[in-house]
Amino acid sequence: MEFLTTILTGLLNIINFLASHESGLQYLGAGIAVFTGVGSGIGEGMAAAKAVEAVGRQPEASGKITVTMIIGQAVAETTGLYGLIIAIMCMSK
Amino acid sequence: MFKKGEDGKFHFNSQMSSMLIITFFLAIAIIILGILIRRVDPKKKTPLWLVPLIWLVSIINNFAKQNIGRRWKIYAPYFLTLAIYLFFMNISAIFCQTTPTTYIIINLAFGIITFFIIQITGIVSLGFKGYLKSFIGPVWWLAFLFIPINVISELALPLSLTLRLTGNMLSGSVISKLIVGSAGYWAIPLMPFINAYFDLMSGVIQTFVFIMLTVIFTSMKIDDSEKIYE
Repeated sequence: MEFLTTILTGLLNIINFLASHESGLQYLGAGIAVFTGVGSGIGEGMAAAKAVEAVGRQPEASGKITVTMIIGQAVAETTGLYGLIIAIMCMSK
Repeated sequence: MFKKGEDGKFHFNSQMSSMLIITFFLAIAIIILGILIRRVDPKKKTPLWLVPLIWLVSIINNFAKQNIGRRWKIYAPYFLTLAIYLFFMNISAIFCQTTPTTYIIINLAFGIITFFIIQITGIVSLGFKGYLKSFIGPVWWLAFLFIPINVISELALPLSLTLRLTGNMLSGSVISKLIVGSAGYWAIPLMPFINAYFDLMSGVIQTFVFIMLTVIFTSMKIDDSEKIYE
């Protein structure tokens, strides 16, 4: 029983510490927000891989394929950038 | 946009002032070019300095003809102006200026202009009734579901254009600031490569993407019957 109370008071102390130092949680939140980059990175990589396959299959259409790939990647990148902007907003408060 | 300084007067922030500098110099350059082009004799051989300009204008014209169709003459000057302006704003870190496109209000201005161009194109192309009808969706009794979705998707478009440009340029400028702050004197040999990647390459790609998305979203509002051009 005494052990449990020690742990609980320790946890409460940590929570109080985090709550009293807002900047710590703010940086943690910024780090979590930047994690959206994983999804957009995977998506962009898939688009590039398919574009490479398409150029290998049809080299004469490489110009059009590159343009389409860049536009698709730019649209896919947007979700990652939302995370980045939220992270910057977290940091700059 | 305006910050109150310590002396009680209002000052521009750094992005705003660099945008004004770039606008001023581009205006002067374009006026001088216009005067020079007016003096060229069309019956003689084309001078060499005019060739890249003709190439640029013809690329934009063909691009507008393919995507817009019958009314391409109204759109092509806007696209070229936007391309030149955004290009010089995105690469302005190599002229030792703060990149103006890292400031969200400037990009929102471009986004709002694009939004109005797209909506007015829809009204002109489909007619006012057809424009309103395009919000209803496939069947009339699902209108209560489709109207909010369509309105939100129209409003999200300029916002996503704005945030895409801002996020890309802001990430580049933040990373180059971190490198300048942390590398000390090693920043002198390192910075040209950082500038080449984050300002030149990323700036050119973002300009291209902004123009392409503007053109594509505009051409989505136009009937396919108008797009056949000679």
